[in-house]
Amino acid sequence: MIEIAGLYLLATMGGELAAVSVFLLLILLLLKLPRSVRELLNEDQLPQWKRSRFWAVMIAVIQVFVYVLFG
Amino acid sequence: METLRLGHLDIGLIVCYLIAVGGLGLWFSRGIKTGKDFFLAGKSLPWWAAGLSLVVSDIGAKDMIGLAGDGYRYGIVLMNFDFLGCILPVLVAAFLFMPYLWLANVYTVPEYLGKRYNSTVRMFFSLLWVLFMVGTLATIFVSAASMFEGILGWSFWFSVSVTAVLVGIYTTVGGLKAVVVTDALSCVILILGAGIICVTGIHEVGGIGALKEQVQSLEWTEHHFELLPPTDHPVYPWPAVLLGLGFVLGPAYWIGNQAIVQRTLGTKSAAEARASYILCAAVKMIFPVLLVVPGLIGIALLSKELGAPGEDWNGNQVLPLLLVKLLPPGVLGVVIGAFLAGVLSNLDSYVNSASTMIVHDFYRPMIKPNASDRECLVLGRCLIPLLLLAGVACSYPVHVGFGSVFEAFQTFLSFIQGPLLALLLFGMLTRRANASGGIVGMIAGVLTAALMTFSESIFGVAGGISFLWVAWWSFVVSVLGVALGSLMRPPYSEERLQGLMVGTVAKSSAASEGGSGV
Repeated sequence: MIEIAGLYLLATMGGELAAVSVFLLLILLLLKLPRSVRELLNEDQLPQWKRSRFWAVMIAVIQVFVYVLFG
Repeated sequence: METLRLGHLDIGLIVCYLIAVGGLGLWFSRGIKTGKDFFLAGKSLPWWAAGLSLVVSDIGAKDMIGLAGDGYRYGIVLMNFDFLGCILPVLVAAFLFMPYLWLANVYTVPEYLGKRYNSTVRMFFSLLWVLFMVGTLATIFVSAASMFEGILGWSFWFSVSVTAVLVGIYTTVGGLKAVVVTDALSCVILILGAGIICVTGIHEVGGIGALKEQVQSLEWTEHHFELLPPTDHPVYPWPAVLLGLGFVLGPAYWIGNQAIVQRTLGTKSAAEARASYILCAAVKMIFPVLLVVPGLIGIALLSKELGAPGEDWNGNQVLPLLLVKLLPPGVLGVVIGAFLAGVLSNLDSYVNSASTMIVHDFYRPMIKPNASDRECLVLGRCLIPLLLLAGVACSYPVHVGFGSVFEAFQTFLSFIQGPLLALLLFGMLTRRANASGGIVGMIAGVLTAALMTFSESIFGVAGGISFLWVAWWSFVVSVLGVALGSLMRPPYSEERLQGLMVGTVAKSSAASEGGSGV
């Protein structure tokens, strides 16, 4: 999914925008994981800071800033 | 070349580090009684140790030497190897792929491919991986030799031999647990040592502003501060970086590389496996700076001595020269400790994984299916010195045949990564992929990679084709191969795919394995 969206972005955007968009898509994917995967993770009952998805989104947000600043 | 004489403090620090690594390795080897203990640490690894081990299984001496050299040559674009090539795929893999690999209860990635496709696919990828790992061992030996030659004046073969013996001892005895625990210590030392090089280097240049000014004042550094260089860049145009590195090399490395995946297969639960990947991504955010900035410092301090990188320019000398110029006595011990940490952690990871694949993908299925666990353990241990010897034997051709160790590593990698990723993606995400698709995609992808890699000698393509494009196009061809090949035979039954792909794992497994969080 990310790959197809990335290809579309490549055709239309510059390097910085494409990289930022890929990380934004990653954040979207992490926030909207398929139901079967969420069930497998089984961490919805945990406090936010103990969820692996929370930390993954934080890291992806930092990457967005890196490419906005240095791309 | 000017070399350094180690002071008492330096030697003391290095000896302390080696005693700590050796002691930890031997301590954790005590409980090894079965093959599962040796190859998968008895599935007992904590997430933090596996996470730190993941970092240094990827980042090692070859990266310290290679990224400093390539940072000097190309600039901050090399940081993408961690940003796009690691953090992006690691975060995807942690949620979409790793849980399924863990729950498939396999020892190796080719074993998963064997379950998902068939034994031919498993054998083929195992063979390629073992060859790749021997090549990788050679690149790590070359990194070690470059460093020891540069700062201590040791000869190439002496440096390689010392390194091989050092790693051979504790890896043969300790297995994966010893490897992972010593890696965790090495990761901390590596960050400390690389940080010292950056801080002293930037201080010597006169600050970050002065560094930027000095680098940009040269004619050949036009793109050195561009994270994504323009499309006419000779080696790293941004579309190739994004497609080749971000979409193929990175994901295939972090989802399909046995040396990487084996750590997470040895964790206590799928949740701990996922947490180890998240920790790895977090720690990897600082490594691009620690490893590429020394190359830029090298431009500011050594450009008169080293000049502009040309055809026969040797990038492996940048970091050793920098250390000789920068470091005061006492600090050198920490940095050499960090370098040793990089060498040892990389070597032990690859040699342990290669041994695991030979035992579990060749010996057990092909030679002796009823081999006892004890036999596998003994064979796994015996293979380690043999693999190290094979790496030593290949180190000289790598030393003379490539501009930098990083280039050598990436070239080896680009051969298999495209096809491997195509098979893993199809295998985990679609029900339609089957054995005929796997075989067609695998052969088509590897052939494409080989033809593109040797395009200069076969087709006369001037300068050859960048390994990033090799990775991308071999992936595309492999995807087409898997898709078309799979149409030739009917798909597998639901029952056959149970637990092997997204959406098929039984809920009981999910409930028992998830839930502990980061």
